[in-house]
Amino acid sequence: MNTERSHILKKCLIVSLVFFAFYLLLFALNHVVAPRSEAMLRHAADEVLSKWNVSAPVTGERFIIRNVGWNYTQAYVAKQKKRNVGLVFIVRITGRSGPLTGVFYRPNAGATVFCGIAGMPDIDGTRYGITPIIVNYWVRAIDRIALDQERGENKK
Amino acid sequence: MKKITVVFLFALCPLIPVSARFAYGLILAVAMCWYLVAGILVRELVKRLDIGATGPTIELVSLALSATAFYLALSAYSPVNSVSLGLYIFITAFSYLILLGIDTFSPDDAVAVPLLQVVPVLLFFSALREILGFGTISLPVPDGLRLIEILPGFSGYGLGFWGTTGGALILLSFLAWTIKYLHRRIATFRRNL
Repeated sequence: MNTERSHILKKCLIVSLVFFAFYLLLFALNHVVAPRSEAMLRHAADEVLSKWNVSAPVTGERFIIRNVGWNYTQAYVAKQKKRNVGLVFIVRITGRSGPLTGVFYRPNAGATVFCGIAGMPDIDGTRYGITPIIVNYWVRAIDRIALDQERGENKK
Repeated sequence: MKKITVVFLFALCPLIPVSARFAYGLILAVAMCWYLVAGILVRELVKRLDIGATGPTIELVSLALSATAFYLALSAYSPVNSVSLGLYIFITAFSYLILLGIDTFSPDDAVAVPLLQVVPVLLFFSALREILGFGTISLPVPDGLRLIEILPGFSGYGLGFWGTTGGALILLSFLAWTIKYLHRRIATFRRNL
């Protein structure tokens, strides 16, 4: 092996090591952050659900929906008296005045309902530029995803 | 570069929907500063490793890493805001890249000056929009946003239009015109000296 090749090999090794270090760093960071983040997010969603309806369910374990956009990854099983009654989606919705975090509830039987905005003093979206048209768009999108998910499960 | 203001505004475009709240502007300004600090550190590392043509690729990958790391840090501090801003954190990295290459059209020979200009502009712009639109100033807290009322009654009867994207575009064009006008006046003044 001549000097030039060994130099190129050395560079490739360094680059690979740098990328691997990046990967490890992100993996470790995600491992530390994810449980805390999920707990806080569920708490915020539960607050919205309780303000929306006193008999509303609470969020249970994470529900993973495959082959959907990043925005739909925060889905949780809706629990009421230890029974699964549907799904709770925590979704970024961009209204007339910027993005906000919306909480949607999709019961096992029935259409998706918009429960409110998380992280704001008031859960009413209209105060923050979330119009009924925007809400309807997300309701339809979540309904479609949930239906696709149910069809996929039925095929299995 | 002749059309520097246009590129400057182009870099800001993705941030228009987000800058309705000062809290979001603050988070994205911190993100930009973080990308700059991380970028300087990675550039130093690349120089020391002496890996030649692969250097810019590593810098770009490290920018993606910085954005992801910032997103995770935001998720740890305030998950609700991380859901709201998720995509925009990564768009800010793109804006950062445009701002860095604004003078050279290349991230290889980047100059940080336009970036350092955009941070105060972003903070001022988002504060102005929120005060005019909602009469409040928001701050990011672990539970979401804390709204501090600046102009009482504005949340109900204020000029909500300035909080919208349409209002932001009008404000931004007014801001661009003002900056350009001031630049011309200063240039004329200097010529006459």
